[in-house]
Amino acid sequence: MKRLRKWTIIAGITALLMTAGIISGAFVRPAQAVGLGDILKIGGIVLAVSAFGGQINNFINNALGQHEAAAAGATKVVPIFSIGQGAYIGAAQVLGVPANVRRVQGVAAIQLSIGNIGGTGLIPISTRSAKGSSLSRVSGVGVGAIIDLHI
Amino acid sequence: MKPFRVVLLLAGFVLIPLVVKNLQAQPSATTSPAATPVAATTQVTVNSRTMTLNGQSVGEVLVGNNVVLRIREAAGGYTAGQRAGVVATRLTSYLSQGMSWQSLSVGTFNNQTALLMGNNLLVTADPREAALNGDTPLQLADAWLGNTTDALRGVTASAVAGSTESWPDWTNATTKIVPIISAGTPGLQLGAAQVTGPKERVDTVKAVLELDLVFQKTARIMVFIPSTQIASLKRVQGVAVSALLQYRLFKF
Repeated sequence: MKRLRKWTIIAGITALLMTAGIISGAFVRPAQAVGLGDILKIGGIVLAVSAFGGQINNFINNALGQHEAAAAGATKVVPIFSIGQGAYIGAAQVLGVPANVRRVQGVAAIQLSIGNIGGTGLIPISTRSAKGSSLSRVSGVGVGAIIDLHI
Repeated sequence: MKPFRVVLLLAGFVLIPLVVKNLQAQPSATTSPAATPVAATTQVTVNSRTMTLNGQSVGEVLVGNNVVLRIREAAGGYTAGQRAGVVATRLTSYLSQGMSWQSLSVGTFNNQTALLMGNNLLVTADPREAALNGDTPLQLADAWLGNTTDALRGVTASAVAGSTESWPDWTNATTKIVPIISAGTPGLQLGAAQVTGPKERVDTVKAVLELDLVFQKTARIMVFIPSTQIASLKRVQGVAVSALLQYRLFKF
């Protein structure tokens, strides 16, 4: 009888511990890192660039460093806003003098045609988008890389 | 019986605080990102100051050492400097409530374009203020959003380490069109690029070499390197791309 009571109490304590564990979240699923793809799906290009722009910028600079081709200027990753489509279409790494690069918030992409040759002008601007009538171009800054976020 | 009661009591003493503690801890695991208190942002110093620019008194709001927005106009009985002080106080207050750069957005407040934090007004980008900056209210608010976001995130335009040469000012800037050559497959022409920079440097550029990279299997990166040689990478510092010709910008 005593033995039965003892086992009953042990089983009770075990059950209590397990219940407490479940309630308290001790059996939480392992955390998963949120990647660029997840952020793209949820928030689109602007949020992805805000969250991962710094990492992408360092990634590009490190790769260039390995090829002994790093740019001497300041660099930054910003969204590309297509004037024709009226939407964000990707991202760009801009480079130039630090004070000017700091002012750049986006790159405006405009369709060009030089004779029969079609192309895209890439203009660093001091705003995130280019919804106004004029572009706030930041001089002394150019594009070092473009980032296609749709693969 | 007595020993069993003691065991049960001890188990109760151990378990009840554990359960209560963990139940209290649960909500923080499900807090939305927008309201996540970030240590780095709560430690940021927000200040305002009054400066004189071109003989005019302006108010500036600083996050750390970065000027994130400048107010040139007096309004509502406040000087520009006092308005900057109000904005700095608001920003400090919102940060102390646990908001971060993720809560920033451009929206409307009382039918005016404004920089918001959560649903709260940070600063109004009124048309007169925007006109003084040569912007529309939306452009001005966008610029303030970018500056404040970068400053709160601690993002600065970082110069590349390991480089001994500084980036030149583009005082005598010019442009030139050169072929884009694949760095991975020498000789393969991918299009043409317009490069821009100081004339003496642009003159030395023979091609733009394209280096292809992939980031996190999600982003394809095309890096453009102005080079003095077509067959090998010899970067010309101070020159960058301003347009891509006969080049499919994105492959989707």
